[in-house]
Amino acid sequence: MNIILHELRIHLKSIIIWSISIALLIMMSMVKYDAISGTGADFIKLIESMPKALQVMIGGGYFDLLLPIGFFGASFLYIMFLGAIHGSMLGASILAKEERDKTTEFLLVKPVTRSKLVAMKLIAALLIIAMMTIVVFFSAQFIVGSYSDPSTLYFKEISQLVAGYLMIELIFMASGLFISIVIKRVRFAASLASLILFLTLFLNIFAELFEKVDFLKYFSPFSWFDPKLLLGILDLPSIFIFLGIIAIIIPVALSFYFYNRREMEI
Amino acid sequence: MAKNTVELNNLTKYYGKARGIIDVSFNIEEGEIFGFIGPNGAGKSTTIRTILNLIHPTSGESRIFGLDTTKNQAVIAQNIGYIPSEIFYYDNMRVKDLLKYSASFYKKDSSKRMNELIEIMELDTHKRIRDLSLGNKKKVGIVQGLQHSPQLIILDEPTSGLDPLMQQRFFDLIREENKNGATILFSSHILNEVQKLCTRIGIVKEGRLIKLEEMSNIKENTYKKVKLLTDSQVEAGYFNIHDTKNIIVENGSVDFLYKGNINALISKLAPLDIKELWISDPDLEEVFMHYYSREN
Repeated sequence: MNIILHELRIHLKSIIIWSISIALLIMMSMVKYDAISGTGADFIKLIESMPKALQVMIGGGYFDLLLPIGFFGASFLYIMFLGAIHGSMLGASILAKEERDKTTEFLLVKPVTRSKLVAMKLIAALLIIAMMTIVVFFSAQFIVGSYSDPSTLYFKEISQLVAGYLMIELIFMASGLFISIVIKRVRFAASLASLILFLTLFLNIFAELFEKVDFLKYFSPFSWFDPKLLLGILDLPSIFIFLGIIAIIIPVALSFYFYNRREMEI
Repeated sequence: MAKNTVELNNLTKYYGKARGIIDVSFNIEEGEIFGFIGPNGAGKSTTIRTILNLIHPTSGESRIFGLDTTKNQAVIAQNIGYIPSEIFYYDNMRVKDLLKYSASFYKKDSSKRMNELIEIMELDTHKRIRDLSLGNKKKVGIVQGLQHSPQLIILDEPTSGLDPLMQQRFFDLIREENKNGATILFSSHILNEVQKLCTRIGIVKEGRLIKLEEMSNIKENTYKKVKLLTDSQVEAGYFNIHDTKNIIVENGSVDFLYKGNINALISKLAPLDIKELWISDPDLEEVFMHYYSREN
């Protein structure tokens, strides 16, 4: 319990900064909606005349960009990406920072098993991610809602998108944590975690662009929880949900295993 | 027979191929103050970090309170106080919060002892860790390591950065803890400290334990240095009683090493017209240098 509270206190500032940033990103993406909604059909024509690569980048072709929720769905990949960055940085640092800041000699001589330590840190990370998710949910609800008719609140759609956001945060937190535990030099953990992050994002874009490499979808969480699947525009295959859960559970389980065997860098 | 608080059996640690420690075996009995000496890089910290389970032994085993240190670290730690050689804490925390955080890991309420120690060490607990000097950080380390009244106190070069006054207070604290039953493992390369404090020593050299000795034996079994200035005529053979070595007689000054009954020496000195006299124990440093220079 003491470790969880300690972590939350340490992360307080960063939680606030991340919350503001992500709310701002949501706001900015919807400001653009304001600009195009007036132009109507012309804008759709413009999008359709764009090269496919560009269309993919803005989620074109699937979303009804003239509806606030459609526009929000199209830009949601980038909000998820920000969440993924937050998750992977959180996972890669929450345990590793003890070694980086040389506080292991303080913490690991305390009467606490390594498994319990991982568990406490993990709970702290989950609470932080829960807070971020709540911030995303309410700011989306509020900001998207402010562009819509009061009668259409998009509660269901936003919940579906935010559920995907939560999965993405958890997946990248889990992989960040795992990397930071198996890698020998902890200071490289964050860089390696972000490398994986960008790699999976590109895999998703390639899989969208080229039908030949469609199978790459199975390797990118961004494809599993693609906003157009989340919104039900296309069916969300249950294999993707399964992969998502596996991608959280396995790295977390391995983290416990390897942390118990880890040689601390002092 | 007293219980062993710490037991090391052929503890070996390699960092990859690099030598850490090789076949280190020794016991520390309950209530002892054990001095662990050797120069930097000899393996003192490696030994301590291995028995604290921060790193894993390559082979051999270590036990504290009779429990295997690799399997029962969390149980053992309940009764260990550790003051590392370099203190690193959470820079943003205030001293008070850090001490409370540390105390929160232990089952007992240590707030009373914490406040006593804060007073003895004259700590300003409102400062942030990042604003502390080396010596003040060390003081936090001392309070942090002792506040839960541990049964085994492990000190890894604990005095670096402390001013002489604080060093004195620190030694008094350690003696007091020892009197109250705590066992102490004191690692240092400052032999003077070890000599003042410890009841038994182990010397490590290049990863191996090369000598285990009672402090009192070291003092008894070693030669005393005797030097005197006299107007009397003294011949080299005059002091040939018990075990005398290296007699140098020169212009009224006599130097030699003496081992044996001190009264016999005094009676030999009494008839002489002595102007100045020095009899001194060789310090640990000389003993230490003896072991270290033998092979070089």
